[in-house]
Amino acid sequence: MKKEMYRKILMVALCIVMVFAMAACGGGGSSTGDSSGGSNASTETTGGGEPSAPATTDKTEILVGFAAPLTGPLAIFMGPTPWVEALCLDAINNQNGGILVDGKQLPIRVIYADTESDSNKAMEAATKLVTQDKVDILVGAWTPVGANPISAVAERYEIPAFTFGAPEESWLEGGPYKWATGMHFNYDLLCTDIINMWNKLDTNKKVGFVLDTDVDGATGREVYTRMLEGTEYEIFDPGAYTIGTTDFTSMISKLKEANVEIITADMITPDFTTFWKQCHQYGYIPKVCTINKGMHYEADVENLGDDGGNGITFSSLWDKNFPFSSPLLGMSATEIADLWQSENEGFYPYSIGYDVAMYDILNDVLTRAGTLDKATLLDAILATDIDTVFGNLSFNENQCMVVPAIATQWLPGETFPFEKKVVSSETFPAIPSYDPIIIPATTQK
Amino acid sequence: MQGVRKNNYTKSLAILVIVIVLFFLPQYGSDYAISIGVLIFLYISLGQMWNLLGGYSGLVSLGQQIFVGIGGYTAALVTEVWHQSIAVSLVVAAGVSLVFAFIISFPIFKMRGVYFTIGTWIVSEALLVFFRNWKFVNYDAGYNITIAYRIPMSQIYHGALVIGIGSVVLVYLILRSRMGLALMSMRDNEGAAEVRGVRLYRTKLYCFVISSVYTAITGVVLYLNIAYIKPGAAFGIDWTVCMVFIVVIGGLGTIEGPIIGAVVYVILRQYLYSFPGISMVILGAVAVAIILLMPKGIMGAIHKKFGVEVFSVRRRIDERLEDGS
Amino acid sequence: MELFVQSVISGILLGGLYAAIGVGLSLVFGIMGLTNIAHGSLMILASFFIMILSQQATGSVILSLILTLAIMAAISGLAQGFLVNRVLDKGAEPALLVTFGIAIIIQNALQLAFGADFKSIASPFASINVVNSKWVVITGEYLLNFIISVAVIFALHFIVRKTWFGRSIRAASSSVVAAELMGINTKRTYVLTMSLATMTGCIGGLLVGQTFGFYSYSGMSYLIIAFGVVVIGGMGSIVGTLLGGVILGVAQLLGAYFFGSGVQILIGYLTLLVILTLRPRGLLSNMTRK
Repeated sequence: MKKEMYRKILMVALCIVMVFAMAACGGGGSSTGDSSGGSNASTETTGGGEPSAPATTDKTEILVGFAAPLTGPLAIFMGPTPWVEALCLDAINNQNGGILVDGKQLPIRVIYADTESDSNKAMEAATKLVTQDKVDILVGAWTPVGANPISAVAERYEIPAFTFGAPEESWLEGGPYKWATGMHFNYDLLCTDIINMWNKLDTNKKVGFVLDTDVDGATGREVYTRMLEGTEYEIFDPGAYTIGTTDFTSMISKLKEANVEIITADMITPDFTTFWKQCHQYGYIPKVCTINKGMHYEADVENLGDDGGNGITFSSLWDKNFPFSSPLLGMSATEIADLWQSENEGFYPYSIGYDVAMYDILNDVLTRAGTLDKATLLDAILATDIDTVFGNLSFNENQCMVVPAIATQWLPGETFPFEKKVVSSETFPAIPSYDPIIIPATTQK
Repeated sequence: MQGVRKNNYTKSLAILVIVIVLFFLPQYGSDYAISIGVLIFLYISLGQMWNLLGGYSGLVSLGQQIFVGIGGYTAALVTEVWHQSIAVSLVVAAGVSLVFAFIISFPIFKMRGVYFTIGTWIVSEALLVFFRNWKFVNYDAGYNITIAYRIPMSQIYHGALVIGIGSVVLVYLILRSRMGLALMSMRDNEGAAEVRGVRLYRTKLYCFVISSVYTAITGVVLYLNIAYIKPGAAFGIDWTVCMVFIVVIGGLGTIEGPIIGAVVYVILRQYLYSFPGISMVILGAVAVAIILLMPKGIMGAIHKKFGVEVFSVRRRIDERLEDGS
Repeated sequence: MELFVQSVISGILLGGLYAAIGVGLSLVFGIMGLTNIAHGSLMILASFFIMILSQQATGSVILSLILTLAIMAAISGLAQGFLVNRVLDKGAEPALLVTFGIAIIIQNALQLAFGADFKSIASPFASINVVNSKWVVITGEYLLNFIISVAVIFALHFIVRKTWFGRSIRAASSSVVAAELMGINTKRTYVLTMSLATMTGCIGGLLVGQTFGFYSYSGMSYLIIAFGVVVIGGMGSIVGTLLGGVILGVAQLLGAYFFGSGVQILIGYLTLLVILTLRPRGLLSNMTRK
């Protein structure tokens, strides 16, 4: 009997522990619902549900929740983010003394949650930022894997969100949005500049597709086919390939046989590295090779070996030669990129531009809104009309601001083995461009 | 004799109270508590179903993400492309996964042990590549499940609750049934079980099909919660890593194990958000550490120390005798 | 026709590389019945060591490889001795989770240490073609990969079949109790087996690093290839791994030849599944442990 009692007590205790664990798991959260306090969330006025009129007097900071790929394959985009954050928050919080919100100067604090470069985890991370940390504005970034699920969370919890770094077309598949906004590039414009660049070069006008089955590849196929129809260009499509393919023998032979002189590839860096190396091994070097997605980083181009990357063209999403500047930092694009290079190792990554623009816009929006009320904040975001490192940005009817994606070429440089040059920018004419060159025959072995 | 009955009575009451407390969570809990609850219940279900295979049938699968993906894609296609209701997507998911589980059972049930383990993973990778190349499911671009933006979280929570509790009940009933006995005997000694008339193939097949269909239904609700699906995420090995974590950490071959494992997994992950960048290193280290300290999982350690079981699937003959003495 | 011949030849050579990736896995499974999920990540860890050592310390890939072999043998031996050995007799699942855990730790630690960008190891043979006719091209890189892989596999076969160490690990694999009665310390044998298997993984890591390049996260994608070649060869059969690799390589490239590059990988997987359906224990399984 005694043993029985002992067991019973333990069992009940176990049940209680389980209830405690399950119901109170968000425990921290459920207590913040009524009283203030709670874990690392700053004090917030309303529990869940409708955004009612906030009494912001007890706010001590403006919380920006950034659901970002801190780990995983997309983490490469986050390389310069801490550097940019330090620079921009110093400008906002220390030099300007914060932002005036409901009559009080509040500093901005950015809270990160790791999406692990995975769309499932991105949703979890963004939900945690919104419901637990109770951030005032949600930021999500890089590729549809980040932008789309984070926008979904914004719609669900009705919180203003700002996403960036994906193709506008694929981001809009999740729309129409009410609370989510975006700063993305547009595939039509991207392809327009690429084709303009091809026009400047002397080729047989045969375009070969080397596109993956990913969303960018599918979009690229659709847009290129539409744009090249009825022009002097002839398309050769050997079919999409699957990401992670290790041998491109078949693809390369078909391209070679069809005498394709212009390759337009949509490949991630490892796939392109393998593909391009095998092209050289099979003695097939097209006159023009335009690569989207991979080859944004100078280190990747160096990785192609000796002279392998010389003359490769790609769509640059930001470049230091953009003749624009950041109002928050009071620095031009060139100055920002040079500052990065003087304080860090290597060639500046283009994602600096996106990060700086994000802080420019955040600063501008919060200053104009003057409150953290969600609806007002959203209106302020949508009314944005700002000159930043991408030039003038404002939202279109899809709640998206379209940033430049222009044709660029890797050429041997002075400071670094390779440096990029804008070679066609007709969609954003304010950006100066140079003439492209055909891939030098000397790269052939 | 009486002690046992009393014990059962208290136990049932306690469980009932827990269920009621959990059912009304949306009324008093914060948004955060609700979102955590959703994850916990869905992961309990994933864990229970993996446990049914790995813990009871000896079928260690690395391919149960197949059915998470099928469920998720059904939800996306039915609601987003054909504009039907969520109920329809549940039915379709069950049907599709039933058929698919039967079809793949022919090849993969020929494989034994580790061949089965790897065979299931290869099936899942093949399906991933197939979906990436399949126009019908929008290639690799996937879908936004826009209908899910507007579903109140309390409804998703209740769906998850039903699925989570349903998985526990389902596994409990299976184990208390004839099939459960067959499973136990199989787990203890496959050869002996077969000699005593247990139909190995059929029992394993039933388990596999039940587990797969229920995982697919869980997948529907998982993706209603996530609201964005893409082949790489839907058929990612990450799902199985999390199932293995939940089951092995909680306690393999027990009903309580996946419940404890899911609670630990979800809360640990939430806690680790405070350590951006190194969170996954810590998660891996915690998994290894727990297994080294408690090779039979948390439930195994508790059971060994205190002899407590919440959901006992044992026939209580021995205890009655013990009591009478 | 040229393309067909080219595909078959490239497929065979590529298969050699696949086999080098997988053979360590086969050995570990054959000897201790462990499904080692960490194999791919250990291989990528070796790639990182070779890259860093050759760039910053030794300046020579060969020297770096030798150092890395020693380092990785130590790391994997320690992991086996202190982590995996403890759960090995507790059933398949705890060991599975431990190796999952190790894989996750390695991947993420590598990213913390070296960043998320794409890396590769410079290859002196990248631009040399051994045969460069109109009919068929054989690249120096692929041929060298194949030769090294075959050498590694036969060396391993020799070690397992002909040396005292090999006899002791085979004894441990056929009966733990009998082996221990004969005075063989099976746990120590397991440690040595894991070290040996990881050393083959180092060579796989070098070849992968030179031929394809790698991320800190590449481990998992190479792991599935490794598992594939090992199961069709027959778990535990070392020579079978080579056969498995060649089958997978040829299947992928012929898949691309007949159906296009999009389904290249899919055809590879389907071939694996068909072979496994017909021969559920692989093609050559002689050393398999139940």
